[in-house]
Amino acid sequence: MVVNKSSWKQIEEGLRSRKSPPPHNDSESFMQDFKARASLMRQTPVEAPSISRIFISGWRYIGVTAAALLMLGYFFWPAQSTLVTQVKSLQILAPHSGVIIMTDEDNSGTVVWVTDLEADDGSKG
Amino acid sequence: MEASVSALLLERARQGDMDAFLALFEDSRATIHSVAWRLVGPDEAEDVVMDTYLRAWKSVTGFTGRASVRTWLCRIAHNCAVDWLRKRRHVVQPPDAEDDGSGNDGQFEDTHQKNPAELMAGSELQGAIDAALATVSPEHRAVLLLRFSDGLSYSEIAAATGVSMGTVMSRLFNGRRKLIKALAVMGIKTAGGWL
Repeated sequence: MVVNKSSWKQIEEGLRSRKSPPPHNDSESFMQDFKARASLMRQTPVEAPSISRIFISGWRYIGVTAAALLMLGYFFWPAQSTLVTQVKSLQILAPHSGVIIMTDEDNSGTVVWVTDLEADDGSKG
Repeated sequence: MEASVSALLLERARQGDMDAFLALFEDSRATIHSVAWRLVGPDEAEDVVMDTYLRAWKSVTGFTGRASVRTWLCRIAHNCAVDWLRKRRHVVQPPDAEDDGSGNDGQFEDTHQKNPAELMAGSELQGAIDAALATVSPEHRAVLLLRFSDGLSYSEIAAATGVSMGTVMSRLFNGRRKLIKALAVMGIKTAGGWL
């Protein structure tokens, strides 16, 4: 078998000749077509931080905040108090892997432990 | 294009100025066409390009300019191509080795300063490269062609194929190795061995 010696540069040249063809439409007709279609659609409005958006994203932190408050209550609640914090229902909207609720009647406290809570950092795109 | 001009055009495009949008993005059309051509084939490439530009127009308000214009468009083109393929239930099939869709049957090839022996060797090598490319996986082939044939940067290829830059580099390395191996099987060995 005849062995042809080729350098990678030659192979690259061969690959370069397989360049995909240019667009069929010339620039002018493409622009006209684009403008005709684009004029029928609306641009997505710029997303600026708004009160409602902050409020919605704030829901994600409710679980964390509730847990923190209950923890504070557990540690700083007066020992003489007869009040016992009770959790009747708890809804955590952010993704998480588990919830542990611990009631300490002696110290009048309740601890809600949310594991692997995924908080939204607000980044987009 | 100067950065200040680009920034001005981008700002005007965000405010709904189509001419500014096109002035900024039209230069990249050939690149986006290459991406579409590689991903969906010649028949639907033009449609994917238009789809890409319309989506870009719609969401240019959210384009911060952190990525380059071409990389951003490549990413949109990838998403459009994927949607297009899903809709049409197509399989990613690069054009046949015999028909590259260019309509160039070789008669317009520049033969300047080439002797017949070189021409023969060149056409043999070209045929061998086509055959070798056919043996490479579609993922490797797409990356090789986008890089060496269409001249896209690593970041543009990553955006166009929906993978990380590391994967692009790895595919380029392995694709090139497989290509050289396939050529070696055909009796064409690279002068430097395994490059």
